[in-house]
Amino acid sequence: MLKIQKLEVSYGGMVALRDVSIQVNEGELLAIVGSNGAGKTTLLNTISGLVKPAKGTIEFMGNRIERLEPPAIVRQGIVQVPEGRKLFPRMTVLENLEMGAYGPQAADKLSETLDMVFELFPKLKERRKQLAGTLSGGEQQMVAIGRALMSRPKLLMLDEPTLGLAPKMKDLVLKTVLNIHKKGTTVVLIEQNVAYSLNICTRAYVLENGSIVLEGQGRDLLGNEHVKKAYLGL
Amino acid sequence: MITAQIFWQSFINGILMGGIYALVAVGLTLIYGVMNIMNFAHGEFLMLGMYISYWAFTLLGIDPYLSVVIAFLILFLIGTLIEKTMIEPVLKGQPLNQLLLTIGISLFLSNMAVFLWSSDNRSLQTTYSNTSFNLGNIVLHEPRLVAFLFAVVISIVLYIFLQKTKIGKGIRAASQHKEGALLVGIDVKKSYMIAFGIGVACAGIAGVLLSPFFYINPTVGAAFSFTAYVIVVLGTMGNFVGALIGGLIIGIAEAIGGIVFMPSLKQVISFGIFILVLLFKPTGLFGGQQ
Amino acid sequence: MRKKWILAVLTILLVVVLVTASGCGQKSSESQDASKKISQSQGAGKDTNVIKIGAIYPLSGPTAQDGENQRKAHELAVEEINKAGGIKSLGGAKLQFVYADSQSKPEVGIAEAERLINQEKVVALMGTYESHVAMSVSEIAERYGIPIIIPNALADKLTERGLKYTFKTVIKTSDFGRDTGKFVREIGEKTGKVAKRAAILYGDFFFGHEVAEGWIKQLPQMGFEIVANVAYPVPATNMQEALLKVKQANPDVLFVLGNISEAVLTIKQLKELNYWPTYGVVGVGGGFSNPVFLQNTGQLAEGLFIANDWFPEINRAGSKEVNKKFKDKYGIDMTGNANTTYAATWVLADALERAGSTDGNKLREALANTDITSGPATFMYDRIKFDETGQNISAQNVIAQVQGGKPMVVWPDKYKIADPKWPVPGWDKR
Ligand SMILES: Nc1ncnc2c1ncn2[C@@H]1O[C@H](COP(=O)(O)OP(=O)(O)O)[C@@H](O)[C@H]1O
Ligand SMILES: [Mg+2]
Repeated sequence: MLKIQKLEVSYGGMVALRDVSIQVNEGELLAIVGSNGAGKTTLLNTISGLVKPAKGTIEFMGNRIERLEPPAIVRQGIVQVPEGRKLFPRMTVLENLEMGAYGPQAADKLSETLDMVFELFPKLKERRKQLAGTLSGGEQQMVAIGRALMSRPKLLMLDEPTLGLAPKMKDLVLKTVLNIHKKGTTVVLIEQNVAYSLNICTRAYVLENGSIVLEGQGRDLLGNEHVKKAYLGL
Repeated sequence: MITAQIFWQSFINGILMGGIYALVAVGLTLIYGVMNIMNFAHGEFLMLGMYISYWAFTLLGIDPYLSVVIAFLILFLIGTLIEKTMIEPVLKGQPLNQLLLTIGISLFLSNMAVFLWSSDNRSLQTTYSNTSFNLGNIVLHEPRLVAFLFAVVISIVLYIFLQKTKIGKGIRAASQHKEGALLVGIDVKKSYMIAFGIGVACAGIAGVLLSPFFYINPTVGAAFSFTAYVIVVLGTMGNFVGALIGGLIIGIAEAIGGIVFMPSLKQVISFGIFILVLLFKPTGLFGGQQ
Repeated sequence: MRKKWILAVLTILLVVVLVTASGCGQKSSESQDASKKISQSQGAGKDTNVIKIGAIYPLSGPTAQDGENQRKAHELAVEEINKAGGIKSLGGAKLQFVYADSQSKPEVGIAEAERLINQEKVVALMGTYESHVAMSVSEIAERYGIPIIIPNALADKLTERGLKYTFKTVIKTSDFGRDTGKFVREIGEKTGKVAKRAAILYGDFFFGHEVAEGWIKQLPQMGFEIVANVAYPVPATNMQEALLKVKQANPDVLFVLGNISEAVLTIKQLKELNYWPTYGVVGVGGGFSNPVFLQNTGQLAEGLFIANDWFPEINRAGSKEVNKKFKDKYGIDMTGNANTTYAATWVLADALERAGSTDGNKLREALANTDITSGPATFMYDRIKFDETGQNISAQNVIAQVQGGKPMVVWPDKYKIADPKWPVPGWDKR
């Protein structure tokens, strides 16, 4: 579905991604694992078009997208729930969700998708008139995920969706992600809890200092010595 | 001692002028709020609006109040064009570059006006330019009243546009979180173009509304820009409702201050308010909300 | 961070605007045409039969248009003087003006004056339109012993410094106060409608305060009581507060100074507020006498009195002809001091003729003994004679009243072309 080849990204002079080649297959739940500053966010932002690569190609369902602007990429069906949520703080929950369906195809199915999101997060329905900036962290994360779903994505990418949330809220968010995946959306997940994400994923990449160092089935990686030492604290 | 009649006359004058100030400031604050740049050429778009009204009336006999629509369209186009070709390329750059650019645009526009239309003052003489009626012992000058009503209505229409329409919401989203907006598929560049176009068109409409009773020359915008900057800061930079209320406050403060103290101190009064706001509430009267 | 940045810049900008508003505002609306560059005459230095005169004007910047008008006036006079045989006592020598751009800056004026004197070898200076530049340039003339004739800068101080080489043909700023007061008093006595309560209204900038000072000093001496003394900001977006302050004081007559924009707003907003002083309004300054003023105000200006040292519609020998020559050559009326500049060029020619020399001292001597009662220069002044300070004794304002859309001179009697209508009725009674 998504095929990235020999991707190189740099900020000014500093190289953040080097020779990264990954692939996401339809229906997968792909995990990307790496420590802070490894380049995970950069990878997602490059896919989304926020950051332009210096070298390499990104192909999505047969189309080259590495030169497209973010809105065009959204229209192709790739959406991310960004690190830090990036909500519109002075818009209501409902408006935030509506903004998620900004593209023309999504706009047609707005009310239908909205029902689905409210079903997923009943809390948001209660709070739909409230300004997003006044919600708790967990509720904001629900809005962020809901907003991304509103565009009816083919590929949903989540960047540390549980960051800073209370344990109960973390569970809820991750369960929802699994739920979304089960219903047929291809998912790329970046999650602090490496053990958990390797457990639930179909496949995973390990990113270190901007390069892919390992790739494999979640279970295989769980047994990998390097992963154990570096990420699982074993 | 100021008589009640003079006081209330001034008060009304202040409100009417404040409405025009507000319309100018609303455009400026919209541009700031969305794009995070201060448009130092704002007054020159007001000047262009005046000339559009003047020529439409003089050459084609078009009533200034019809020119509101013409000026909106023309200035919206010019605004989007300027945004696309000149402002967008420097948006990622240093604030200083953006400042120099908009100041440059302002110089260019006023010099262009001198070149095309000479520096002579002009006035538009409509049949209703000088009509007024009495409300008790207060004189209400009709074109000012109409200008005020237009300004209020246009501000409300613009407010509704931003609140309710898809494009308007997209503009607000882009102003609140640029990356967030990009990630949901909003064409932020287009939002900027539209916001800038609408913002300068507001200034242009204010110029049209002033044209039946004001003078017109290439540098007329400068005096209005000054007031508009003060209002935008007073009403919290980027805050739409703040600009509306700020416009009225400054209009009234100038009118009353002008008769209580000295008219020449009007700008000092505006400036004093500006300094006080910076000292005690740097985020403006409406800091923290929008 | 960024917001602070913009706020800081804004603050600085606003301070600059406030500080300079008064200074720059005064001419900003009248002329912005910086694009016109004057080709400066040069060379011809070897021709002994040419007398070079230096002329310093703002030829770039906001007052460039006014500088350009002065240049036109000089050129018209020079053409005529040379055609009539030049300076006969100097073997028919031809006058040649060398122009320099002051950029409205005293320091540039000084540098240009020195260049003209040292390099161009000019025998006299003329200029400089702007008083603050004239103040400095006349000091240079004094130092080099070269006479300077000021035909177009008004400040009283110019002739109050004991300078021996400075001669000023044009009225003084304070003459506005003297002449407008005199006129209103005389017409009051004549008609029995005596205006006692006076309001003065002027822009908050240097020239505005100078004119106001003239009123404040002289009006009470002529029996007026100043019931309102109101300054307005320049440039003005609104004159209403100022006019309401005047209205509150209920004056018989309003004396108002204005550049073009403020002059236009004053008349329009008097009408907007449906207010008119008991007897009338007297306007002073470049704004009211600028033909553009009447184009902008139309009917509203009817009955307004305007003070200036000259109008095209004046009963003075030679006036019509001179204005026509100017208009034929340049397409515009000879207002805005072009008239005084033209006249003063003839005064210089007269002095050169009598001096029979281009020596600074002798030329100064001749200028000091000037007493012209006929010839081209008298279209402006009955008689041209300088007092010991170098001020032309007969320089004075005339008063015109807008009648039928034209400023018709109504005072003093000897120059009047129409009878004044006094009092001027309020808006309701027109
Ligand atoms: N906008 C940026 N400008 C400069 N450097 C950046 C920027 N964003 C990230 N980086 C740098 O790129 C590297 C990768 O960062 P990031 O992609 O955020 O890593 P991760 O998401 O894995 O923590 C880091 O060294 C980070 O400091
Ligand atoms: Mg990250």
